[in-house]
Amino acid sequence: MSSLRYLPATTGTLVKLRERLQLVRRGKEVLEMRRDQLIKEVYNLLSEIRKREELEKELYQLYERIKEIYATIGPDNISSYARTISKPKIRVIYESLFGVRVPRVDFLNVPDFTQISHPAVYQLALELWSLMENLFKIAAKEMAVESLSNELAYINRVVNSLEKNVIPQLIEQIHYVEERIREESLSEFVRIKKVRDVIQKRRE
Amino acid sequence: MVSIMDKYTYLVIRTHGLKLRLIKRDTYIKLLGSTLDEFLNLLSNTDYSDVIERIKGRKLKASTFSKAIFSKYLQRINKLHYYAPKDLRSLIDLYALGRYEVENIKRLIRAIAFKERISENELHPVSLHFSIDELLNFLELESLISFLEEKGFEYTTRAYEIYNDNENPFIGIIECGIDADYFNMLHQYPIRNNGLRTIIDTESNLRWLYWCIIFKLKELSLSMIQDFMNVLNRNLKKNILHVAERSSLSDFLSIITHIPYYRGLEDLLGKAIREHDYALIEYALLHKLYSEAIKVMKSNFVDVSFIFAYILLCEMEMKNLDTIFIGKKVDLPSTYIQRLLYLSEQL
Repeated sequence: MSSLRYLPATTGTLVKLRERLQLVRRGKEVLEMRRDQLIKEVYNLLSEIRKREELEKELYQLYERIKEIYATIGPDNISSYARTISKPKIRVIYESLFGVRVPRVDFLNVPDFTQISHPAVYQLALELWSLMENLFKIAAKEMAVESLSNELAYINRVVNSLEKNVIPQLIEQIHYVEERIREESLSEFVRIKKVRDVIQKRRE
Repeated sequence: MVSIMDKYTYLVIRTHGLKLRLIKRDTYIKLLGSTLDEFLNLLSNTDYSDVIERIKGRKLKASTFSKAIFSKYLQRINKLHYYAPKDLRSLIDLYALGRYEVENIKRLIRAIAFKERISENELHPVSLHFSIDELLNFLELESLISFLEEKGFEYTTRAYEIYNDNENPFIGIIECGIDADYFNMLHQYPIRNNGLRTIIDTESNLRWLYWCIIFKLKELSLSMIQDFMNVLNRNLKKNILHVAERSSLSDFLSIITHIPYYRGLEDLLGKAIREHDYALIEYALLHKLYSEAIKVMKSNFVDVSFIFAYILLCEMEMKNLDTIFIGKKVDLPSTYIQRLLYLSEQL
C-alpha cells in the first residue's frame, strides 16, 4: 500500500485506488456474510453439543452399574465376556463445512454384543456402546466447533484489519492523491494564466 | 444309613469345625464399614490370615486379591479331600473344583472362538481332568472340542455341532453344553443321600432356569439345547421346556416359580425382567442355592450333605469377599456393596 505513495499523483492512480477501495469493501462484506454464516452454524452445533452434559450424566449412572457388575462377577469374567465382542471400526473423515475442514465420524463396524452370554454384561455393553456412539459424534461436533471458531477468529482478524487498517489507509491515500491532483491542476491553471499573460505582453 | 454315617462321620465332624472358621455376618458388617487397608487388616484376623499376609503391603489388583482368596478355597477343599474317605474324594473334587475347571473351559472357548489369546493368569488354578498348560495349547476350537470329547465331555461336543450348524451361532450353546457335562458327571455318581441329592439337583435345576432365561432373552429356540436342558433338569416333566418355548419370559417365570425348586424366586426374577436389571438374575439364583445349602446344613447336621453345603458356603464367602474388595476398590458405597452380598442370619 505504501508503494502507492511513490506512484504519480495522477487520475489513473486515483481510479486505481478507488477500484481497490471498492474491492476491499466488497471483500469485507463477503467476509462479514461468511462470518454470520459460520456463527449460525456454530450456534446450531452448540445446541447439539449441549446434549453432552446429559450424556455424561447417563454415562456416570451407567458407570455406577458397571462398577456393581464388575464387583459381582470380577475382572477375569468381564474380560472373558469382552473377548466375544467384535471390535468396532471407526473412521474419521474430514469434510468441508462452508470451506472449513471439519471431522465426521463414520462407524464402519458396530461391535456385535450378541455373543455375550451373561445377560447383565450384555445389557450394559449395549447401553455403553450406545452412549459411546453418541459421545463420538459429539466429540466430532466439538472438533467442528473448534475449527469453525478458529476460522471465525481468522475472519475477524481480517475484517478488523480491513476495517481499521486497510480501508482507512486507502481512503487517506485517495484523499492525498485527490489533493495532489487538485494542487497540480491549480498550479497548472496558474502556470497557464501566467504564460497567457507573458504571451499577451509580448504581443503588445 | 448307619453305615454311611459311620464312614463319613469323621469328615462331617471335621467340617463342623471348619465351618466355624467361615466369616460371620457381624464380621461382614465390619468389613463393609472399613477402608481398604482396614479390610485387609480385619481379614488378617480370620482364617484368611496366611493368604492375606502373602499379598499385604503390595499394591493390590482385584485379580491378585481374587487369586489369593481362591487359594484359600483350594486349601479348604484340599483339607476336605485329605480327610475324606477314598470313595468320596473324587466327588468332592468334581463338585468343588470341577465347576472352576468348566469355567476355565468356557473362558478358553470364548477366547479361541473369537481369535483372542488368553493367559494362564486369567484361568483358575484348577487341574482336574487336564492341566492348564494342556488347555492353553489349543488355538483352534475344533481341536479343543475333540480333546474334550476324548475326556468325556459328550454334551460339549454335541453343543459344538449345534453351534456350527446354526445360522446365527451363539457361544452360549457350547457353554450350556459344558454345564450339562459338568452336571451329568455329578448325576452319574451313585448318590443315595437325600440332602446331597437336593444340593446337586437344586444347583442343576437353577442352572437349567438360567439357560432358559438366557435363551428366552436372546429369542433363541430352546429346542436346540433340549438334550442339555434335560440333563440339567432331571426332576421336571420334559414338557416344561415346551411351555418355556411357547410362553413369554414373564409368563414362563410366573409358571415356573410355582414349582417347588423355584419357589421364592418370583419377586427378584420378576423385577429383573421388568426393570431390565439382569444382574439380579444371577444374584437371585445363587441366593436361592446358598439358602438351600444353609437349609440342608441345618436339617442334615451329621450327614455327608453337610460337607457339600459347606463347600457351597465357602464359594459364597469367596464371592462375598471378592465383591467387597472390588466394590471398595471402585469406590462403591458400602450400602451398595451390601446389596450385592449373599448374607444369611443363620450363618
